[in-house]
Amino acid sequence: MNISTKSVAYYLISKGLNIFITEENNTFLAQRHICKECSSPWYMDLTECFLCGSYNPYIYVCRHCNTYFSITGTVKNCPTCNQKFIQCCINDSCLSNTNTSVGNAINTKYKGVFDGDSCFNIAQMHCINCGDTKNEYITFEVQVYESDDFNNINSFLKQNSFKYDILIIKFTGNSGIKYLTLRKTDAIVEVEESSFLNQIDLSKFV
Amino acid sequence: MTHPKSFPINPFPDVKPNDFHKLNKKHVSEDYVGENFKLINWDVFAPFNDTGIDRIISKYICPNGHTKYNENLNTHPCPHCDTPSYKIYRFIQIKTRELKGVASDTFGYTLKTKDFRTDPRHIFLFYSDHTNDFILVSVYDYLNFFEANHDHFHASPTFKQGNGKINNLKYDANNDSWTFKNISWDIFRNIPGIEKIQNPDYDKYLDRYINDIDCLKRKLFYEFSSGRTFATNIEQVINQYIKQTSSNPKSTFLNIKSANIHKLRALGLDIVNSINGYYAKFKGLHI
Repeated sequence: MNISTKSVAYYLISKGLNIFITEENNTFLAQRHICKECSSPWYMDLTECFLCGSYNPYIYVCRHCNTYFSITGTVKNCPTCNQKFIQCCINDSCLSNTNTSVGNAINTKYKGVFDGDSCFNIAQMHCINCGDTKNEYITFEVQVYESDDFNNINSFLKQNSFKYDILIIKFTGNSGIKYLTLRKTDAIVEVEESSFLNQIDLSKFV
Repeated sequence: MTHPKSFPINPFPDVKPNDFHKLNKKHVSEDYVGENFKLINWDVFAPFNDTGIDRIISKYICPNGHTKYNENLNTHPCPHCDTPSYKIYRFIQIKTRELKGVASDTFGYTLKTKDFRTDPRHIFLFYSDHTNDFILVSVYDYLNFFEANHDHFHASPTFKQGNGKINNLKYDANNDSWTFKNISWDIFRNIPGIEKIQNPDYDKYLDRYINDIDCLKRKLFYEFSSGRTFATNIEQVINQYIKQTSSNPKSTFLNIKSANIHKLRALGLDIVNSINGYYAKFKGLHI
């Protein structure tokens, strides 16, 4: 991948897309893992409570004092009562909080539902936006073309039929880099500077 | 029973695959898989950033299933039925292992809850570098196998902990055959395996397969067995509870999410900022 294309790839990674490459210089495959229903991103690294579906809140709880602490610190025990913190589910109606036998079993064996070793948290099952449980992959083959000359850009558009799903044209004129993001279906053969934006148009990647 | 060894081959003849040990074999194994797919005319994409997918492979096939495992129609219509071809993608997760156990016949592997997506195009590729075999199983076939054989492994605490090693995939050297719990897995092996994963139905009926995998996943995952980890008295209580919660409508889940956010916001700015720091990598999720 040439450096201009690599720069675009890194931009897309920063926006949450995954990038896959071949030996070709100026193309790559962009991929997203999304909710089937609403297209929100899907994260297999996000964990939720196996019992009720609550997301990992990333906090420590002292059950004795019923107080909450950031897990960023190095302190592992409650500063008030010296009890060990646990990483429990914060949903009051979750079985881990309403059934003493279940709660004790979880908190004795592990340090709460969201303890790193716990079997009571699982990878994301519900969409963070709509709550659906179905997810899928979408892919886009992307080509990047860079030039500081509009004649070259228009000549490129005329000569190249759309082989890829998305074409990103980088215009490197005097006023900084500007972008035109085209889909295969856009079928544009001539462009002018006013068509270009200051950023890559991410709405084309859905 | 002999299997043609035209696939896979060793694309790197200067080194034997099993010359690598488990700590330095990941890169070469993934390249080994990728080069083998290139040799049979698939396009191969390697990850540029860290994802749960080790390779994406693609090619043009006939929607009526006429395309051979090593054939790429490259946008041309099917030579058999003249139907326009279309491009398929398969998302490959590679597990490379040597055979272990008393009889050196066991392919031990671990799959975690995060490895199971509901897209049928997600493929588990088990690469046995000592026998030079690829076992290719779509997430659909994998879950379906466990459900059809009433295997409750996914209910175990060890599976959800992520350290539940599966030691049921075995190689029988005498018969040159692969089995899982004594059921043949040769249908997933090498060329028959590729023929299964390039099934055009995964693309034509993608929505239906996603629904089916979602149902399989919820049925297999939302079950709890106490195993040797917990007392049996909580097993029934938990199973009754998750039977109810796993069939809740989406609105129930969203209500819990909303109540949790409300509760977390009340804990003060320091804690909210800390939580949002962890949520930063999950775009769309914040307190």
